[in-house]
Amino acid sequence: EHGVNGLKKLPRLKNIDRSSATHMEVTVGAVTVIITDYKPKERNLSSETNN
Amino acid sequence: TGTVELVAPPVSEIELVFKPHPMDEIEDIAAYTRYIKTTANASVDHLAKYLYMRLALERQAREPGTSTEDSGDKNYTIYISPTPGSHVLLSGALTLEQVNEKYWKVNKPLEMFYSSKKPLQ
Repeated sequence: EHGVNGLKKLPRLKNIDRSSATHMEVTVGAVTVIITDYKPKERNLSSETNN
Repeated sequence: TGTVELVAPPVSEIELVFKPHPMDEIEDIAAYTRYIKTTANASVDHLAKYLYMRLALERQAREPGTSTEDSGDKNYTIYISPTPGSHVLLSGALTLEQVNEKYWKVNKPLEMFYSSKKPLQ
């Protein structure tokens, strides 16, 4: 499956809180990339323990 | 005027789950699991450096006064698990795009593993 720009579309993470994103710039050699870190969504424990 | 404007090709983004390697025997794996997004041109070395920087910052937050330079493990090794139970050590020069093409055949976000231990020979 490919997007409009011809690049392969890759699956996205689920169950993460996208509002929790923090960014870090990492440089190796001459290449700098941005790495975004997400926190997982809080699990609803009440529904899991309600047996 | 005949000038040619060079435009860098678009770089796709890759989202991945980053877990501690089972050989590190970490009990609370969820606490050490990272959910990250970066560009497909990021290399395995970028991930290892990111991990070192991130964990050093977290240690510094927990223990104010410590230097990020005193954070111990600087050389994380990165693995991928192409099939259940197998972990393949990745070369630092590989980009995530190459890792995805070469090792990851399933239609779900990339899963990678990190370890502070030296790789088994």
